[in-house]
Amino acid sequence: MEGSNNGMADFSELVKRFDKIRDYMHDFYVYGFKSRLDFTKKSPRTYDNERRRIESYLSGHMQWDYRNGAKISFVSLDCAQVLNNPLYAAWKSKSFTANDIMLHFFLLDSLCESPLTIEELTQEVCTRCELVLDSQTIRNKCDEYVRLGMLEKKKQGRAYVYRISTEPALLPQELINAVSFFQGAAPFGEIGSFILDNEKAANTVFSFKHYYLAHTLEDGILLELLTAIRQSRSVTFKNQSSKSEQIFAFEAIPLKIFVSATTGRRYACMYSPTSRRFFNYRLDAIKAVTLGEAADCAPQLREQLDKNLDMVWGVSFGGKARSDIIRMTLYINEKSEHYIIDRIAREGQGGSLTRLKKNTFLFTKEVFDSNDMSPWIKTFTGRIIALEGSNQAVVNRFYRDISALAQLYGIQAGEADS
Amino acid sequence: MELFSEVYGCYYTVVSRVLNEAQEGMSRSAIEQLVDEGGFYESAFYLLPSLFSGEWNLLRQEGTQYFSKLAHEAKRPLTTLEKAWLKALIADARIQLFLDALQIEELERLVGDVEALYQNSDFHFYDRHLDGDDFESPSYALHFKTVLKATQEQKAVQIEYEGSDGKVTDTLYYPYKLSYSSRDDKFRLLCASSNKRKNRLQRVTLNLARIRSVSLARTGAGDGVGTGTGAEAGAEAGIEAGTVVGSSAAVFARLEQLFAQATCEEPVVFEISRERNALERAMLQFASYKRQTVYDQKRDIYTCSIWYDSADETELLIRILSFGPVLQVVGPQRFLEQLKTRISRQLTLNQQ
Repeated sequence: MEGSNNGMADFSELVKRFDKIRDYMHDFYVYGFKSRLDFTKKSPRTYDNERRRIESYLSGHMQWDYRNGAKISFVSLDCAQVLNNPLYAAWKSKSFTANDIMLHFFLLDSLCESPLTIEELTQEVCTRCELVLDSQTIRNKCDEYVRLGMLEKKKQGRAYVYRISTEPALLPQELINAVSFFQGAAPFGEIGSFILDNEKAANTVFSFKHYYLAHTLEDGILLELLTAIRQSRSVTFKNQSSKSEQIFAFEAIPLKIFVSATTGRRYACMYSPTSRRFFNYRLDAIKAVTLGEAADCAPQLREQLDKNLDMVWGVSFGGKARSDIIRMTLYINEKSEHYIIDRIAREGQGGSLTRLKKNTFLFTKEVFDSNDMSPWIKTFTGRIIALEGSNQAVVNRFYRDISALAQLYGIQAGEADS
Repeated sequence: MELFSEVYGCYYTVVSRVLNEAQEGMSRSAIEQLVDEGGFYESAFYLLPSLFSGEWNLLRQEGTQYFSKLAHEAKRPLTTLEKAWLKALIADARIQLFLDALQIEELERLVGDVEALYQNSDFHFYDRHLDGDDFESPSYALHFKTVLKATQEQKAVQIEYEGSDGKVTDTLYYPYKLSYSSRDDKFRLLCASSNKRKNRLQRVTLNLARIRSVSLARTGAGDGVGTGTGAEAGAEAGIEAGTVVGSSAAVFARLEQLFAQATCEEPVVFEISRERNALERAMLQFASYKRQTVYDQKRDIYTCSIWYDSADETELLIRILSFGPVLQVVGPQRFLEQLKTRISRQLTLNQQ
């Protein structure tokens, strides 16, 4: 509904461009503490409109708080209780014209029985909707639907006919079950949600843990990057610095998408021809992607990347040293704490665990950048007998962090055991 | 391929529902109700006038009834984008839990020669746990299908389950939801069993991979009080106060309520320092929890409260520890004590 005011001047619930709501929805959901005054990039009126839209899309999930005289809108959800991601609503908010919606239903309805030429189709649609429409308008919409894959255009005799591409039969229940699951567990879950909407179905059985709802907001960017990966092309992309909030443009060759199931971050792993290195850029920081030239070297770069993956703990390809070794000696009670050994086996990314003596184990792993390992190492706080490594800065920071934590909580050594 | 298109939009979906129901005629209030249920919160203000005024020309009015002008059911065909997504699923090992070989062939025919939207090798899940479930195991798929059917049809199941101690129990469970963790790459069955001693329902989480056998319980099984033996399912068994066990139907009616309850007594509250980009990291990492963050202008500090499942307390504790001194837990006391115990032990180890 474009330009429709219906007495609600200057406000439309739907939007033309997805990026208009992407950032606002991200901030309401991920941060949740920002008031109108914190959204300084656009005018307060724009903020009011976007907030109102998001409140409408997520009506059952929005909450409000008043602090320091300011209203704070936020989304608070326990993702384990969410069966259908409410943020998918953003993808279902595209505006349209009265002609768009009329033609959508009448075209598909007219083509239900047999393929038609554009002249036949124009006549059929005009009769059904009792309006006079020119054949060019119908042709444009048909061609748009051919691009979307809903219609096919075939030559029949001398004329082209349009027909429905796939019979819109009811999908079998087993496939609906699969889509219900994958809409929450596979990339581009919103597409699963589109399919369920079309089938008048919804997920009622599957719940999801370690589920990052905001990933959907990055899927437009992800689709462009995957297109570049599939076609072995370079891209120019705009990346927003998290510190300065400034946007810079870069050129690179996308190769893979790195996903953290623990921290909720997704990255585009790209090769920079100028610095001749692999880099990871966060998908939520990438604001736009433009496909570039063919990159013939992409397959070789992907192979090279795959060979290096074992050395990348998280997303860093390291500095000049190119290799760090971490040695972490742990206290593990062999009788009662076997679950720690299991945990290291599943989280240790192929690092080796050696039993040194009773209840004492050594975990060793070689990586490009041991900085990436720091958060994981700290999850073993309370059982690290010694931490050593070739990157002394990482080791020193661990010991400094423990001292800082002890100071923060007013802890003296041995207090807990006394 | 376009991801942001009005053909997937909420308005098109709700209008197609109206048109389908209006084949037989619909009152204005019934249409309004359908739009309220299927639209966004404010959709009725924008959508209904266009629908009723004839601007969209999709309905004709006869007396108090509205009829669809369409001759057939309003349903759009699959788009190339949707087919490409479905094609990508065929290469996912988990599809075998839902479709057999014949059904996969049918799906291949449905999507045709469309290129898959992505390949599994496009993604590198760098911290995904390495002991994920074996989705290709025939017995796992069989158990999965039985449990899925039971969950959908709200039927009790008899499950032989191997606990973490190796002990096998044979118990009657009432399935609630099938939970999947992308980090663990595992399915778990959220269910309830009756505690014979206490005559109450208790929440139980079962790892699907540890199910040795499962069958739909015979009709009427589970009616009355506890038939279970050893309801605890390993370390993951979360037990909540429930209500007195009644008939099987009554039990299923209570599951929603039983699982909706937050299982922690109080939220964990921590303050976030401005160092090391901690605010952004914490907001993202804890985004999957129900939470609230507030900014204290006077102290220039952010405070985050997190509500969590008490069965996952250790996981939350170590995730907070992974941030180091840039997060400071301020309560509750019991959580704080656990954290301090670990730090104190570490401090002692550092000084040895």
